Amino acid sequence: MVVAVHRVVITGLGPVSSIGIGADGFSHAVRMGKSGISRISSFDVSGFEHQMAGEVADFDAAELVTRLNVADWGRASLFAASAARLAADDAGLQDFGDDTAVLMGTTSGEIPNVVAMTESWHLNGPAAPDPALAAQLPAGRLALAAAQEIGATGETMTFSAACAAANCAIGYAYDLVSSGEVPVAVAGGADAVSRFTHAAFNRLGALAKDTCRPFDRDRDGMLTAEGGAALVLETLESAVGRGARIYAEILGYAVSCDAYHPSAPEPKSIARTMDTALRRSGVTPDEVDYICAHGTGTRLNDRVEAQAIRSVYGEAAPSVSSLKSMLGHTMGAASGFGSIACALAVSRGFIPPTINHRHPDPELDGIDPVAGTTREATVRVAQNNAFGFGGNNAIVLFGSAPCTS
Amino acid sequence: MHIVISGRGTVWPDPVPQAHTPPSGPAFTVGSFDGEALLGRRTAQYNHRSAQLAMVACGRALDDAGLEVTDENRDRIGVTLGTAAGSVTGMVEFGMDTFSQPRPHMVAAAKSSHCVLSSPAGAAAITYGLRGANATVASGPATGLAVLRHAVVILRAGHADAVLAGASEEFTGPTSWLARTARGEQVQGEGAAAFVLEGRESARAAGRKALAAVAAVDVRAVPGFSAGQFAESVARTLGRAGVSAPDVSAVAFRHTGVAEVDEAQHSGLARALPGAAQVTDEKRIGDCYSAHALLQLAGLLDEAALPAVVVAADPDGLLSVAVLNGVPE
Repeated sequence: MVVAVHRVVITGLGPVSSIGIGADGFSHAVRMGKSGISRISSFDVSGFEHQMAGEVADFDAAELVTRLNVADWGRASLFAASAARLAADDAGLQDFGDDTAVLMGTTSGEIPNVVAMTESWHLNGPAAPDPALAAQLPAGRLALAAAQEIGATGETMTFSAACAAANCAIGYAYDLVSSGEVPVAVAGGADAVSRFTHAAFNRLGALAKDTCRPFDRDRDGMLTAEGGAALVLETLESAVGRGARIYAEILGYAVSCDAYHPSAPEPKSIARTMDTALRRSGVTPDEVDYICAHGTGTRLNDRVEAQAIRSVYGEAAPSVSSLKSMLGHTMGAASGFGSIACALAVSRGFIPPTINHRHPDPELDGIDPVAGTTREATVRVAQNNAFGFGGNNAIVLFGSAPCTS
Repeated sequence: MHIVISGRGTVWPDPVPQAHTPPSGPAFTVGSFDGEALLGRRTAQYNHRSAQLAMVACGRALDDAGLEVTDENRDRIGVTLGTAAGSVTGMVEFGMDTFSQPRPHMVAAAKSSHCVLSSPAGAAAITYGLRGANATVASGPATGLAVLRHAVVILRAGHADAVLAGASEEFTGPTSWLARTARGEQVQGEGAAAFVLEGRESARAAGRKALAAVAAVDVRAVPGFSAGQFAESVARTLGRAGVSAPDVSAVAFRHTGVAEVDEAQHSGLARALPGAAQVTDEKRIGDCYSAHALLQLAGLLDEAALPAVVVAADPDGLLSVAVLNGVPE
């Protein structure tokens, strides 16, 4: 294994979520256990069996971005760019150039544009699509939007790893910064609520009727959601050199694939990924105080995730909570929000709650879901889990800011 | 760590373009491609054409490398595949039911993964039993080179011992209508290419022949396109690769369809690599967009034209350069 030459720290957070926009707004909302779930308004949801989602109803990209022409970009790209702008400002960085990498993850890119084209083909038959919709569609534009918004001209890529995409992007950014390829990277993920994604999860029987209750005995599924999340990663030397506020250190990460089933998770493979992430980070299980779960709220995910956690951590599993109880499942952005929550947990000393949790599930014995309200606690190490369709797993570990005085 | 290519797999389009009904135009297609026969009925049923093309190329790359997947190595073999925007046709086939069925959620469950950009990489992992690092990269026409770059970083960081790196482009109804609208009336193409990438020592220890070294790959956002920009990017990447410009035998690139970018590309590459043969491959394969650069790379390996440079520009603001070098026996 290649030895990291630089320690990598988080110096900026950029959440664009249904419960709060910007680091402080988001932090406050997570502490309060706010819900971002509402009836879908971005498309006609009237015929659907399930109608609730986590839309960022008040998202106005024009108020957040300073350089992009909003009309040129799709919703997911604007989430990515807005998140990158917020993260850059939060880090106090202005001059990005050739040595800033920008990596964004997504599950479905600008899929709302495909929905609009499909509707027009449904109504009018085959024809050339609307040129504006077509021009916005390439998924590579998510990272490009973020790079152009902050003026970065370094390595720029958009990743997908289904719903583990942001962790893949953050992990890749960690590799670039820790190996000395670049001193600064902006990484995260973005996705937009869409009719097709909603229909897919509805058809698979994965959607909750109205409330997402991860780890609850009566949980009945996930809710589709959207948003953008970005973090600024930089070398410890760079952060200390410019006197930046350090939220947390990235200790390491692991990626793997179940190679088992197109949509169902597999506990052994997830446990293997946790083991690898801990080993690569030089962390032992007893040092981990918080696991930010993938925690979708489906019967299967939460059971498999709990099983994997118990197999790695034994009886002494740390607290496990799910942001999806508040946000719904923001797809490619989800592990970006999880990473932001982990950075806040270690820097501000709290463990986010799993809201809507009413009854412990005897099948999930040994899992403490931090039910209902935030817990004030010292978090030395936080683990951020992300699993996706296709068997993609990506787990990132965050530690408290290194003592630099 | 020196990264080498130890296997290649391709699905080439037929050498003569076929006419297609509007709004599609003429295209170089893989006319004889039979996903069901090559991958089995069940796999073909769950996966769109882009995924099937990529999976077949991946299988051929593994075979070409002689890399046998076993319980001992499957956790350490990764997959990185590229796409521009997933399979638009796959998404449309899945989502049309939300408009045409009596209730919008009455869609085909088996096609739900068509909405996910990364489904081909997951499907390839399942088909070949590869449990290592798995990812999908989207960078427009620079996708193939971004895939190589991603695989190099994953290998260097020790997340995997070998990575199957590939990209595919399909020619199907909605995908082709979209391409024609977004990129003009160029003759489109479809196909796939995949490569086995691993460390030089790993290939040597296993007795696998290194076809080329991936000496350097650069994928970056650019504020604009000028001849100088192309020349500088090539020079910088050659510098990182330790290859001198006069040694380069060929430079492969793709016309973007945007006149200013293509003029800058022509003169920039002529300036940076005056002695290298310029290859676009468009008369042989059309415009294979997200798979174009990797099909070109496969062609350069076939012709043993090394050292070689592959350039891919995305007029949206991305410029990518890869330098491939020979590996001494």
